[in-house]
Amino acid sequence: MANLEQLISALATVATPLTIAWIFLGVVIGILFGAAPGLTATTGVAIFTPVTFYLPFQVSMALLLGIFAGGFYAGSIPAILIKTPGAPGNAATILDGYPMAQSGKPGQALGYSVIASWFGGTLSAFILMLLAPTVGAFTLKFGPPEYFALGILGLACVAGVSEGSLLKGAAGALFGMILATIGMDPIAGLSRFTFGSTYLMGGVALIPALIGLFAVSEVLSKTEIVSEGFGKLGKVKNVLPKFKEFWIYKWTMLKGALMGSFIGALPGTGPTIASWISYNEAKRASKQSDKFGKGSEEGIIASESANNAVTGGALLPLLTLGIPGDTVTAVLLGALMIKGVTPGPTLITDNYSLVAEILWILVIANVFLLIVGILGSKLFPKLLKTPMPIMLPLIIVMCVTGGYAVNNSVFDVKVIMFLGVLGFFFMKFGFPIPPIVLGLVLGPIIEKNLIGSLVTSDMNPLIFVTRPISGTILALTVLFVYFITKQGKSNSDAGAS
Amino acid sequence: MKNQDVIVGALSLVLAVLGMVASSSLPTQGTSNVSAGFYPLLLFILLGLCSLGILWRGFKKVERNVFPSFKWTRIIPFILLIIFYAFSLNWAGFLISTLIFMVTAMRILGEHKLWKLAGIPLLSTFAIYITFVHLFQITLPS
Repeated sequence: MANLEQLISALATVATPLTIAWIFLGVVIGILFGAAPGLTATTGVAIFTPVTFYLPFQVSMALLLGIFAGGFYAGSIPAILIKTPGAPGNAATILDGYPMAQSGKPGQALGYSVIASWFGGTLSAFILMLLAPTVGAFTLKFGPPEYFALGILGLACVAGVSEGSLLKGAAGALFGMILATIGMDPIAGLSRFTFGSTYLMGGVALIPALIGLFAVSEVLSKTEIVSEGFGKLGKVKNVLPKFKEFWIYKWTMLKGALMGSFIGALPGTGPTIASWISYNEAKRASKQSDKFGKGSEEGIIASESANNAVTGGALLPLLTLGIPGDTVTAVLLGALMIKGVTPGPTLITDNYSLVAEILWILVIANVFLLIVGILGSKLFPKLLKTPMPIMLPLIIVMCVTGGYAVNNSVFDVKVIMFLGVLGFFFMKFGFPIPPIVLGLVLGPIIEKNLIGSLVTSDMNPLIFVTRPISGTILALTVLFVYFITKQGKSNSDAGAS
Repeated sequence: MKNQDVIVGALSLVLAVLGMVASSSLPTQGTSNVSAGFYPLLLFILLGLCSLGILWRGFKKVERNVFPSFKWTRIIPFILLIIFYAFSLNWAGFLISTLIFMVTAMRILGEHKLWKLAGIPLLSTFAIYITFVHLFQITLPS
């Protein structure tokens, strides 16, 4: 009952004109970032996180979660209109969204996508509201071995986000973890790999590092294809489907949203896996499975409802355990830390109202996503035509401004540029960026709990497998890696076909 | 034809070995039996193993991994420009360095129209400056 009161009070706190305006702004920015091919919700959240430094908590979360929700949906816009997913999680939408757009119905394809995205995102936020207190209470039993095991489980994401080579994904994650060791070691406070620089004594600042790795490296890769156009884009009309037309797919949408919520809640999964599993399941269960791949409404709904349901699901491990499940939540973790909020079990038990505010913001962001997605859909083809020679330098300026704002330090801007260039070459040589980021974020969590566990057990590594919870988590990790690798292989086959 | 796996495998192996040496030389403090280099050493050993795996793939040609192509005439000037931009903030301040960066970057990326090269950097630089400094209350380099 106390939670219900807190939920109502949290709704009253966020339902102010100022917070709602910032949520709206966040959704619009998220759609701009998500729709621009190559730029993602993660890039948007990373660039705008430093901006939130001086803003109140609710307003900060309003902006960032608006970008998060808007960006996740908007990745489907280029997937439908130009056969290029805005983010990997929208790749399955291409299979039916693009053929539907090509058959003269781009508006309908966008309409099904935005409604499914809204439903998935909203349902997942409510599921998170219900589950967070229970999961939070359970995780109070966790000690260093369990947190170490959770960190490793989070790194299992490497298997899910390593497009192509798992070995290169693992090497990238290790590189990120090594990068995180720069600065003072957490046990004795001795400096490591600082090369005499006082700036590096505090370690590599997380937000500038994320901006460099995500945004600057993406801009650099786009400079190579700047002159390529997207060809002729169809006119968008009749976005809103009739209720009857949509209602027949209610179970597909519900199933996709549930799958996305639960898959997203598992560290190491994310929208790519959720949307493909949901798509495959919808195809398997459909009476019209022969229409899949040729412009099936059901295919778009299955993929997009699961994709956006990950937004709520991925917040569960972040808020209850302090462990980010994917790259966007890794950036959000940095944003919460900036605001002095440390996610974890005590946040749920001691400060549930803050968590409830985050969840309400996500619900409101999904309402705006629906409105902007429907009303703004005629502008989306124009959005894809934004000239790159203007957009790319502007993004670099935003990165510099945002990166500088974190610590008022030009050194951080240099870190952004260095890691951006490094990230670009990593990408060119087939090393995916998300594992590097996960390594950078999870590295300190893993180190602290690894050393803590070993010291308390007289350096006995068996502590991780003999304790029931950590042993179970590690066993689950092995299963995840196996399952995700297998799923990734079948997705590549499906994509190729 | 150069094989990218062999090249990146060899480079990361060199990094791993250098890292192992550097980690081993980190000291132990007080009574702790875990040195500051214990965890980085573990990571560099794992990186070394991954590098060997990538090298093996390269030699066995598990996948066709051709050396990536670069549009050097555009990417090198752009990289040099963003590095110059980062360093120029210290002595030229945000407004001047951003104006120089925007004009040069747009030109490198193929913008030829004079009114765009003059107007867009001016407008966007001042818009960003006013938004950050006055709306978000963030100090920018001056």
